[in-house]
Amino acid sequence: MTRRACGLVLILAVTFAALFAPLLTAYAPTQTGVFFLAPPDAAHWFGTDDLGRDVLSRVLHGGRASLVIGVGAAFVACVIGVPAGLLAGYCGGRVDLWATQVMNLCIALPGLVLALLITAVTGPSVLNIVLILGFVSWPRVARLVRGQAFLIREALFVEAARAAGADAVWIVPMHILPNVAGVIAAQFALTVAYAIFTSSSLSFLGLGIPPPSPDWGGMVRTGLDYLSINPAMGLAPSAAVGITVLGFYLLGSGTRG
Amino acid sequence: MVDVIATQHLTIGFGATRVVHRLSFSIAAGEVVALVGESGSGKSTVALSLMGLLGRSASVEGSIHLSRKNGETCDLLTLPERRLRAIRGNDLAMIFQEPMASLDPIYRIGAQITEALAVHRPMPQAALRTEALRLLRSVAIANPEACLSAYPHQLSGGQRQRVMIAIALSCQPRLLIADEPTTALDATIQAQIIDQLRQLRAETGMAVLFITHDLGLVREIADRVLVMYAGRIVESGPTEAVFGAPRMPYTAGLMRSRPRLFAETPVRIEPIPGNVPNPAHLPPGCAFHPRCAHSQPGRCDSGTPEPEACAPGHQVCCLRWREIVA
Amino acid sequence: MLAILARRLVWAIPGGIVITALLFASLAGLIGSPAALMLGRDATAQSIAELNARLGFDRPIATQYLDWMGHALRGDLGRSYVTHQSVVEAVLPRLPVTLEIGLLALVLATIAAIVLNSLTGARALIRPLATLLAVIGITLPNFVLGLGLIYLLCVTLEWLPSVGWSAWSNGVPDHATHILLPVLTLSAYYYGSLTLVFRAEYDAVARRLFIRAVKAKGLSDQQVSWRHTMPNALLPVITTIGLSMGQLVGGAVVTESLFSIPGIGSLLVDSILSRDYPVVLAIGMIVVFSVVIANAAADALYAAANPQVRIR
Repeated sequence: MTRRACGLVLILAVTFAALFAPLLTAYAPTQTGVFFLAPPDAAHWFGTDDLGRDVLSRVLHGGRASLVIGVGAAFVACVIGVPAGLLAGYCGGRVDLWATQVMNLCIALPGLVLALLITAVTGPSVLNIVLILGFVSWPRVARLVRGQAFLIREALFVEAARAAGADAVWIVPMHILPNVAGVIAAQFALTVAYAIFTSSSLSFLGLGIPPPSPDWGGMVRTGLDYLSINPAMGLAPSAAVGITVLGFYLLGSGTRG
Repeated sequence: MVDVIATQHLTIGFGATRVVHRLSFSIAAGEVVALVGESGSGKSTVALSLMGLLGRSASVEGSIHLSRKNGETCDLLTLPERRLRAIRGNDLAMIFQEPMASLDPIYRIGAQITEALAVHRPMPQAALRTEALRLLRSVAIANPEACLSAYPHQLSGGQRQRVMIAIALSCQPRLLIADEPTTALDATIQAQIIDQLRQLRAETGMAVLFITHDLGLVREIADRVLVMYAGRIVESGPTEAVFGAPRMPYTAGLMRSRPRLFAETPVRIEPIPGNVPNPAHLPPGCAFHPRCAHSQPGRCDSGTPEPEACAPGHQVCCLRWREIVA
Repeated sequence: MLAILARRLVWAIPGGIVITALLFASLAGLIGSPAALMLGRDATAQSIAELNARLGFDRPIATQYLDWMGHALRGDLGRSYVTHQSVVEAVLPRLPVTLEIGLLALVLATIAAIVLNSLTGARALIRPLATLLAVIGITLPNFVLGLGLIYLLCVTLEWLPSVGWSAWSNGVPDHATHILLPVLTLSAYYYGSLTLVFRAEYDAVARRLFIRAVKAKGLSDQQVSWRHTMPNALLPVITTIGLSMGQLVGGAVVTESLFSIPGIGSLLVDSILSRDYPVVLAIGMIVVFSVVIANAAADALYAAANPQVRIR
């Protein structure tokens, strides 16, 4: 419960900062200035970057893309993963066997490398990244839902519904789905964490949303070169990624327990 | 004779709930004492407390005096964990109810038998092996060499319990605690294991605390009986005396509820009505009175009976035992 | 053990072929055409078609796959479109670098996860610490953790030389100081996920009856943990080690890129960015094969370590 509360506080803080970013800073994220690579001072709390832009403003605005990508990707992953998991778990037998093999194979493959390859081809727009990360993360959702659906399928009350003549069309939405809802919610938060984790890695590698839009991973990449001049340039977006992923992770893992 | 182990006012609780109340008993060297009672009466808790294996959630008061092989006598409840470890498996050994689950699945039997020896009496590998073979022969395992290199899942339940006994005996303990050692086994295997234990007791002269709910076994193996109900010893004495003339209505009830296959005339089984009370909500007075045919309102439900001697060595906890006998 | 491994590998070969074929097909399918990747998003349909035809990418996927495999088995992975160097020559010298960092990180993470969670002394202190490290490892992407370490140890404290690579030939101390941070960074995620799995198993084993029977022999808590709880808990974790190999590869890509290490991970990123299809394909195949082999090895190890499987 405390884990969950910590996670919620972090998420709310990040969301608040991203949402009200224009009100919280005096500078636009893409507005260049005359002071390059200035260290933090009263005017620029995190200093300025190599083009004289305010780092704080870019970090706050960068949260928008990250949150949209994270939540969007988790949504896509659930849209694919939940029905797939329910189907495998409810049908059991041969369908389940094959589905489990496919899920395990997909989980074993390096998601980041896969996302890298696809992004290189399709181009890194926000929509593309959402779809790609959703596609890369659905097997985890499906595997979890499958396990839960499998357990509940064997539960007495489902047995009773089946004995009363209910079929899958009734049982799955009326009995199984409500009982896996909690697990799905938890997994949703974990998938958001994973998607932000991966998308920021993508943009760190140079395949993020194109500049000049502020984007945490890309900012860290640039900041790396100026670490001894203005450390905040790399550290601030790093911390932002860490805090956001941590928030969703705590929310997800705390909800399950 | 010297007492191997003697408890004084042993009281065990988990949180606010007391499950064992002021238990005092002793076991002499070479004696077999049976601790009898229904499930939930606190028997296994007593066994684990003697071994010091109850875990941190339990609070144990009173004293447990053990006379060790090296002649010293110590109170197990005041010893630090390090010295307790030197006693566990060495002066005190235990066999458990579930032989199927009591062996580590990933080690060979040989390694598991010699483990306690290696801890308490370091010796060369070859000597350990010889000793393991000797132990397996002493518990009448059919093919000791093959058994040494077998894994637990390759053995039957009876064989595993023999292995557990061999492990328990490896350091020649002063006291063997056997917690329902035959409950999980088939009837024929059960008889063999009991025979084996009886024989080993005769050979080694160790004392045995035999915990069971099976009165038939008690009569076969025990010198003395402790009858436990709701965390208290309600009757104790020599096996013949207790079986011949049970004084506490609960003991008498246990006897009547036991199926007798070889009785001369058919005897009705009369189960004791009701269940063992929840230790968190013990009835006032004598804990047995709600189930007792002889209970007297205003007396049994208010005063707690203390142990009284009704014959030499035979004690009973019942307010009305004199009247019931008469 | 070796016999089992050999048998699993023989079984893994058809699996590997199926997966590489799938990868080949899906790469081709996803990319549409390698020419599109090479020419970039602004290319016209006609120029893409022309280039595809010139390079033989207009043939059926199965033909292309068999052709590629045939060459690959003869040690020919084609030539880079960018440097025109042979792909084998580009990849081969970089492979040991990635393997060294990956294996060191794997070993470090596994040992740390097992030891920290099997210690019984001062558990009230060590367990929360192990959890904290695990949460850090799981939630901080490699580039964030690495950047933090670089800032702390290289820039602020100046204990270590800055990023870059130093080969064995420059001497062991120099090599070690350059490899320390990448290995630490790469091991973090693996340590975290392993800790979560291992600890759940460990606690489940600790509740089993035979643990009580072992304590009754007079073993100390730590002896019980090392000899009985930990090995029994380790068994199911072996499979997890194989399964999370993919994560390690992803981490290696980011870590090598961050520390400018000349391994195949950074080569993969560079090749993707410069649209060097033969190199991307070759590294993709290597990654898939290593994941398949790692899983087979984990299966074999599991079978060898578990007496209940071994005897059958």
